[in-house]
Amino acid sequence: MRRIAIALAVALAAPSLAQARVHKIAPPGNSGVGQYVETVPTADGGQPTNTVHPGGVGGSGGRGGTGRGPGATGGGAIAASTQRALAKQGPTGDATAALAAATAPSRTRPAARSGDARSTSSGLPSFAGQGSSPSTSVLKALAGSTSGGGLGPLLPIALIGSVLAAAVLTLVRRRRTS
Amino acid sequence: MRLRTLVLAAVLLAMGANVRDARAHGLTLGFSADPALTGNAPAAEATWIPRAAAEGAGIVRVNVAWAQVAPRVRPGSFDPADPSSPGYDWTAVDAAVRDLSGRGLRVLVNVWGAPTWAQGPGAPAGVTPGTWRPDAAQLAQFATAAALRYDGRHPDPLKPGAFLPRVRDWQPWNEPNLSYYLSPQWTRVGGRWAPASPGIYRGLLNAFYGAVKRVSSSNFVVTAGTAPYGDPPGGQRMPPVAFDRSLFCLRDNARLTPVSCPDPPHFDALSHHPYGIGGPLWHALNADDAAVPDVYKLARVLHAAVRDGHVRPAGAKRLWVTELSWDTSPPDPAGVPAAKQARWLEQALYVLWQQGVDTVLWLQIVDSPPIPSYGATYQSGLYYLGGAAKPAAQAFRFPFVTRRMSRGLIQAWGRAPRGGRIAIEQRRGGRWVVLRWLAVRSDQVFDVVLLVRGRATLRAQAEPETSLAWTQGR
Repeated sequence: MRRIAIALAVALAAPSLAQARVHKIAPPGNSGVGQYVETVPTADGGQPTNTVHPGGVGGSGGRGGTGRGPGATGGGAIAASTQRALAKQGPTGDATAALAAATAPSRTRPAARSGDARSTSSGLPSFAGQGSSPSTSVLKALAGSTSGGGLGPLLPIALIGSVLAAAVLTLVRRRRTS
Repeated sequence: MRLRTLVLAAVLLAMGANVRDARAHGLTLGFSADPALTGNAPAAEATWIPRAAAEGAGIVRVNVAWAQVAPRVRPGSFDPADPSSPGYDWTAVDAAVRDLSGRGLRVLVNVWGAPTWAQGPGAPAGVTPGTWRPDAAQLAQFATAAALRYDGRHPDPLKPGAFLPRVRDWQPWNEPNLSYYLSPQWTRVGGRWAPASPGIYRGLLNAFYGAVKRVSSSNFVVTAGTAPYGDPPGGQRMPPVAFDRSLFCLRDNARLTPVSCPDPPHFDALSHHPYGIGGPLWHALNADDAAVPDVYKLARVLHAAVRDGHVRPAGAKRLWVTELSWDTSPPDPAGVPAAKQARWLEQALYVLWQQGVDTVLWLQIVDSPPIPSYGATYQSGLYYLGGAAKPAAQAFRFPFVTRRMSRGLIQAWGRAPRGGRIAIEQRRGGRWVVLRWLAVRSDQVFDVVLLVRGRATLRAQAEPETSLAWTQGR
């Protein structure tokens, strides 16, 4: 049963990997230098370079643009307490938080309330807010599409089949042992 | 376990493995084109160049912006291969080469950025100036002019009767896997993205190589350092491993199958810029990207190219790193603590050396002013802007790292700041006790295995220099 649980967990993670897109993380202290950010696969939303990173590629003096982009973390993908703990670890913690946030499935954000500064100051660029509810996102992720690199409707069928097969196998074994 | 340790130690002693020269390559250190060293400010000659030499640097990179030295509009009498041709302005380059060479530092001339008239046709709007399909033949003419000017026999315009210093080390272009320096990176072929920049760069590299070698066969050509991270096909950046595969006409990362390569790349050393998102042990997440511990990926591609005759001249090539750094906090709020920067610096030197790198240029000797922001500038100097030294200065001058190999053995690696005797010491009861004496040459890498059980704090000493200390657990 444990094997089945592991297999299920892997299978559930598969759509995220199959539909991976990109996010970018920067070397410590150089989030504004667009040349040296690393492209990281994420769970959704393809992001062109110039929108993922506010600094972009370019600028004067031969090194980078301006602004500070994806080196910061946020966006609610990980718990606030965890974020604080990671922040204490310095840049490595920041990078870990950025990676966790970047690779997490998107969350639909409530519409920005007037006067709510947090609604516009996320350290992570616009990953969230793709317009679908969490349940829809999960269903979409499960169903996937072959054109997007996923297994399409085959995946849920395979999952349901695996669960049924496991249940039947367990029942048969119990009857034999009794 | 104890017996095994003793046997191993006996074998090591029997082999006389005091200073391992098995890896024949040493480690040359230097600085990249830090304006504090190459910008001709009074502080460069008075303060920073002497400090760079005192820190053990052997080489400094000087940026030569082709578009700034060459005329914007070519005069009628312009001869691009003649360094004395009207239209050329070498003033800033002359000064940097003169000042650095005067302190015994080698100069690596890095040429990049084409004048408008040397770019290819059809540049789209918004492309970075000087990057669009630079003309290889024009670059060769400029390389000839530069190599002739710094061949050691060209009269110094500021010192009658004297000659400008000799420059042997040359690097055509910078980070050619970024559209910021070379474009286009990709072209659309048959509905799919195909690499464009490696082919363009191969043409530039070979034209440059031929030109500087014709002036002097002892000139040394280093490829442009590749940037560490790329984007998916069609993006603004090509992953460095993919770029090198294409540069060397190799296909398929698993097998590195050679494909037709009518004009293979010509060079003496391959360079990379392995800026890390994390520390020196942080691997890039994508297979074709390369941070500090991933340089072996590039070495693997290079070795395959050498094996298949896709590199000229034939034979082994050296590996250089011409940019590397981590910013510190303070002053950059997003940097790493100064003590950690120092550890990372010396650990990175070890990790790079292990992978075959024999020359590493740290980005800057002193922090940059944070204009327009900390995030867009570098605070990775060995010195703060005010002139105070960071711990990294000691790490750069006398890099030393240790690694526990087993319960009874510790590996100690470092680079000698000067020739003579080095003591590897252990802290015991508030005193430093010598564990091993080593006889070394200046700048020689030492790599020894020590019998040390339990928690231990070690350092190296070469009077009057002392390395930073490393503590190993049990």
